[in-house]
Amino acid sequence: MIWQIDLFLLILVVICGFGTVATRGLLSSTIVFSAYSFLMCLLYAEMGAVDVAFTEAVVGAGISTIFFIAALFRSTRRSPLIIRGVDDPHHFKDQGLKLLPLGLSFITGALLFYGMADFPRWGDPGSQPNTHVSAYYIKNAVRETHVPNLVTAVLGDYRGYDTMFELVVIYCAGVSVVSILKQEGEES
Amino acid sequence: MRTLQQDAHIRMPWQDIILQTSVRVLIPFIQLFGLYVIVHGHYSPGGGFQGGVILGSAIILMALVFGLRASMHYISENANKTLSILGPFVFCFIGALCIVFGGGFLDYGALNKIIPLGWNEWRSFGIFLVELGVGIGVMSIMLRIYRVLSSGGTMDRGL
Repeated sequence: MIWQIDLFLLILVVICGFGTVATRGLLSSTIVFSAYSFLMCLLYAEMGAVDVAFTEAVVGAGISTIFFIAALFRSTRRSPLIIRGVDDPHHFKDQGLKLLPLGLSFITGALLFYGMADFPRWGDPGSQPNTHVSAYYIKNAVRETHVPNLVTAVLGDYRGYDTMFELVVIYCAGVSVVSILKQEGEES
Repeated sequence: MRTLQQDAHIRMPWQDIILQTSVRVLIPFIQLFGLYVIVHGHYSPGGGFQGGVILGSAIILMALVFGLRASMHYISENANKTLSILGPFVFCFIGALCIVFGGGFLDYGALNKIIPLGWNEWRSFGIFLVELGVGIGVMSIMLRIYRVLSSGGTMDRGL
């Protein structure tokens, strides 16, 4: 972990996060969100979690952007703010109410930062999660499964149930999208 | 204000010959890369999930450039429906097969009784079979979600 690269990437991540919310056009917002996903992918890769980075690049930056854009094509391009017009008096009238969500999110963020103090140091070999099962996997996984990539060995063999139900969850997502959107009587 | 959909009506992107030719060259390589990611997941980052998404995005690219009908010509909606349930089925079937041959659920070493390759070799090979199921399932589910989303549920015209 090189802290200069980390700092640079994290600053870009924060900028992209604000950009996603602040951009008015939904298409540009989607593209900025895809850039956000790609920066997260770079962060994961930089921390050494290459499999997670690959998944993030393929799913977060790739296919979900396509889905967002496909959904955008079937709706209007602009956010309701532009359609109503920014000088709409109704837009500014409820500005005061937004202090409550703002305060709540700040309190949540502060609590998360407070909880972060209890985290073990990054990559600490003596920390609780690293001494529990990871040691067993690192010691025995290659010998027991003959799979050099430990992540695949853990996902496919030791944690096979997780992967199976992950696939079932994806199947359920597909079925629910189809059942919500598919129109009756137009079977191809 | 013009919506994106009206823009697409004017432009007709699938009539662009440069786009069509380059995508025609690109798609086999994307599919090869997807297969490589699935099969090589034992040795390098990757696996069924990522490879399946890459395979699905190749077909999605085809649907974007040549139109939804052209992609239906290669993988019809019924075939896609079958494939999307085949993925989870392969996974569960391999797991259940392990019980039949005297192991636990997803205990691939038990499959050693069918073809004796060695207990540990079978654990490696079982992971491969399961990843294949994940790849098939994820590919067709991603494709199916895209088709329904992009056609607004009618499945006749894409973006």
